[in-house]
Amino acid sequence: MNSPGQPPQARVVITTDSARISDAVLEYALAMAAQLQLPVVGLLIEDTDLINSASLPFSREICLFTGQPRQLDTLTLLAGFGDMARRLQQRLAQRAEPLALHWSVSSMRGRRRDFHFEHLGEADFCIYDPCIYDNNRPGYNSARNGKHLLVIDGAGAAFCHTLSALLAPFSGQALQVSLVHTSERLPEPPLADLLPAGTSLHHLSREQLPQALLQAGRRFDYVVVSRRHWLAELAPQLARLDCPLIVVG
Amino acid sequence: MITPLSAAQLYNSCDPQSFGFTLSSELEPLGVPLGQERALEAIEFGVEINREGFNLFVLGAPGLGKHELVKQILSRQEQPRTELFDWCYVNNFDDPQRPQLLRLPPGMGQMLRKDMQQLVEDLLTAIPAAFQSDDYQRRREEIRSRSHERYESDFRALADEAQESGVAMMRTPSGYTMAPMVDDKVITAEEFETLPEDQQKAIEQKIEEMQKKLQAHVREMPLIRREVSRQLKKLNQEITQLTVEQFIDSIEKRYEQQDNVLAYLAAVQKNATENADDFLPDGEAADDEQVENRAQGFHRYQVNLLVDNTHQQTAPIITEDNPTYQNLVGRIEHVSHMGTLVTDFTLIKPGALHRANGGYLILDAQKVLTHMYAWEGLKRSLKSRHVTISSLEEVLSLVSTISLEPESMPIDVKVILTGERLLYYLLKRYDNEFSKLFKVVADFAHSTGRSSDSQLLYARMIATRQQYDDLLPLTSEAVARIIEAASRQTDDSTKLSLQVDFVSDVLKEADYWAGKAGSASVTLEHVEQALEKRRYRHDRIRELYHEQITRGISMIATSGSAVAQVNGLTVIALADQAFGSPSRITATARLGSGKVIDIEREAKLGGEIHSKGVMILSAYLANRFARNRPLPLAATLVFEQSYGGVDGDSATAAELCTLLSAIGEIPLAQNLAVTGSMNQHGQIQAIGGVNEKIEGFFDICQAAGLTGDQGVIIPASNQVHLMLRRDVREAVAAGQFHIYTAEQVDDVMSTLSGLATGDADADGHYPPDSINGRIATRIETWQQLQRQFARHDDGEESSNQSARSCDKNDDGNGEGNGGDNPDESPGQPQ
Repeated sequence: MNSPGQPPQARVVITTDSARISDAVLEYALAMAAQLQLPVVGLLIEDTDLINSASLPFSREICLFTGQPRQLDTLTLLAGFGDMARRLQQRLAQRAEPLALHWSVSSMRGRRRDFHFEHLGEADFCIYDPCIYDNNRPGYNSARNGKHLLVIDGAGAAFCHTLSALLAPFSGQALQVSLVHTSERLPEPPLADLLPAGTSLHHLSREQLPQALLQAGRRFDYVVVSRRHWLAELAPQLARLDCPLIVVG
Repeated sequence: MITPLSAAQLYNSCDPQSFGFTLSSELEPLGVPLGQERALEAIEFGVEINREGFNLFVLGAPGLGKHELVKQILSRQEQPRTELFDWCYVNNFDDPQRPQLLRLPPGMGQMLRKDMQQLVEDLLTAIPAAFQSDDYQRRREEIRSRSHERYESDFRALADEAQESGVAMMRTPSGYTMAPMVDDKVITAEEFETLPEDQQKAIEQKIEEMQKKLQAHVREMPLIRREVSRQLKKLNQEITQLTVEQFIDSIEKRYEQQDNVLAYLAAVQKNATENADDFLPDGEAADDEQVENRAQGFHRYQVNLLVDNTHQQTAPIITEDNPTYQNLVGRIEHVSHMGTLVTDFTLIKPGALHRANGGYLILDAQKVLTHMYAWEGLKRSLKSRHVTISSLEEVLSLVSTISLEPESMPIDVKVILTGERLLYYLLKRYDNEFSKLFKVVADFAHSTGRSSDSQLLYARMIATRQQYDDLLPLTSEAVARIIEAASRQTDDSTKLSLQVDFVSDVLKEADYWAGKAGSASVTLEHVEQALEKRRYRHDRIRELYHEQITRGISMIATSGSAVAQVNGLTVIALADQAFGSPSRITATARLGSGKVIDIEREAKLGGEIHSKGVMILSAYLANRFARNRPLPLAATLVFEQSYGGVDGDSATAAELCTLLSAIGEIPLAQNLAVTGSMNQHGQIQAIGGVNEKIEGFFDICQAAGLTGDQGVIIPASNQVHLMLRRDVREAVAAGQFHIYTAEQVDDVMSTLSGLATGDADADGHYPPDSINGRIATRIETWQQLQRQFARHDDGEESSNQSARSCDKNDDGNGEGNGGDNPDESPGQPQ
């Protein structure tokens, strides 16, 4: 916790409701933390909807591997959360320690589809790794050349500054960036100056945004959005994204 | 009658003047081996005849140069016996446990091995490149996206359907669950309880229905994944096939005439296509070095070039010095991998039979027979004309692990076994298959006749060895001395030893001494030195033996006379040397039942031939002195102070003289030693080791002091064998020592006793002062004694019987019959 008066300590927070953070997300988060010398926090959301569900008398769990139903009770579920936290710790330890990064894992209860901004500082970089349907699905757009980012921008100097930090791990790589400029008042940010050489910049209209979010898993590696320019109407779609979401202050 | 020999009769000298050369280097080397015409013809026949079973057995004693001659003849074969091939083992992709054998023209084996090595390296580079192509990536992504979309959209549809029905579909740590929602939130158990019962039932029903759908969907996932995997594999194969085909096509052109290689390459293509993933790098793109390293790991595409005849223009000639089973038929090696022994076709190693295919294999018969299963393996291969590689453990059923069963290799090999005569006879007698497999025998002579012509040839043979071994040239005197030594080596003055090793060794040793003396040639002095030093090096045991005699520990008299005691002569044969030594033979004679006891035999120290000799002399004795009457003799014969075995019949004459001396109490001269076997008629027969025996007695006499009357009596038929030492010859020339030959044992006895033998008169009586007279008198005395004892014994027997009769009569149980038979009266002659 920061003392009053001190500037907030920035962190790289990986928020997930499972231990199955993709390698790509983990590598990206650690690379950014290493470049900016920031601590890494694994934040595991213990989904309250799930806990409630487990207390219901007819609650059943369909096993993903066998397709067989079995009784789901609260104790088993909580034990499962405990296991997930331990696995998350192991993975972070394996990856962060060689880079001499500070790291920690914490859990909190809440709804998975909520973003829990109350637990985040203004300066934090928060990466939400979605719960995908299939363990064996290929890595995000692994076949495509160069990372593809969807940037939902409300403009502002601070966002531009933060964005440059986000792009640091991609330095030297030619990217594809799709920009949705959401502010009607402010001018479009000067993204072209921030992007690595060879990057192609596309523009999407605000009307195209819902469709783009729906297909995010197939089209993008990351969706980047600013908390300051949070669009409440997009929250349900962002909550159901099937690619990593990066939320910055 | 014994005949004294002059010094000249004791040695067959070789005259160096008869050669007509000064140094051996002037002589033309001998093209063919001396004295081995028969063996040479047999080997040439055996080598040239190209029929099944006509393998050779070259027999003869060690050191006759059998190996050398065989190799010399084989090296003259300019053409291979049959067409030569390269032989390779390659992977059998249908059954890796049974590696496939490829027969290729010479040189093509190496080419195929390199081609396959290059192919793997090319594929390791080309296949990953093909897989990185945009086209491949696009098609691969299409397949994955299609399937991903399919199950994702199914999940989404299910989740949407659930949401519309007020049910949340949520991910659990290991699966999915469904729960009712109110206001977009999952209700708690308490909230659920507050709902009306029919609503609860409806929710439960809905959730159950949704769960069934979810369950069905989850169960479909493996099928979708399998389908994706199948499509990806098909795509991979399609890409790989295109790549592999290009490379294989270029290789195939070089093997258009080789159907077996084309079939193999087709199998390689199929296998590579089916296993395209193996060619993809695990991590980042591989550099050249990594490609090379990875190529080493592709064992299944390697070519194990078992027999490489690339540079072989003539028939291969293989000599296997260590003919173990595996060295003959090949072996399958193993490597340790993760603590387990594993193998594959690349670890198949050829045996001598593989390497000699189309040519000749030279083996030492004894070594083949003494290595476990080597003989069986060789015969099996020759019979079947195929070499089958199987481990000894497998043959003996010692292991049950899975091993390889390589395709057997057809062979056409001429096997040449070399070995000693006994081995050949034993194999011929006890191995039924031997005669069918080794039909040609090359019999090496160990000696050849000695004449002026053969001496000259021998000189050329010496010159050949001298030049071959790059030794100093020999003077004609030195050559002559070696020829004399070769004669002594055979124990026959009319023969020359064909022991090439002996001659070669003497030459090298003489060369050494000449070199040490700084001489430019090997002279007589150096040869003498070499022979003397050889003798000296091995002479320690002889010295010990003779020392025992000269110190009086082993009792041998070399002067005076004694009854029932003769100096016999023995030969002690050790590994490197044989030497002679006198041995005292004694006898005892007394009244008995006609038996001559050989103490050596009774003590189990006498051999069968020695026993035979004693039986012969017993028969001789009985035949001469007791033809028509019993021989009431009990005699014993022994080699005094002999603690090892005694065999041979060379002491029979000496033993008879000892026995006659004992019977007739005739003193015999101790300054003479006797050797010779005899027959039942008293004729002296030849014996072996005559030179050593004479020299042995001479050494003892010399040590005791030569008196001028000492000497040795030998069989007359042994005279041709005499090649005695210079010092013995010199003593004979000076009249200090004598060598006599004898033809009849009577002459020997007469010489030893100084008495006449004595001829029988018309009544069969011998003159009383003759040897025979004294013996006959003694035997008659024993016969009288025997009769007296017989009468006495009969009297006692008769009295006993009378007593027994009286006893019986006293008892009143029978009639008495004692004393009724006048023949049984005491004092009545029989």
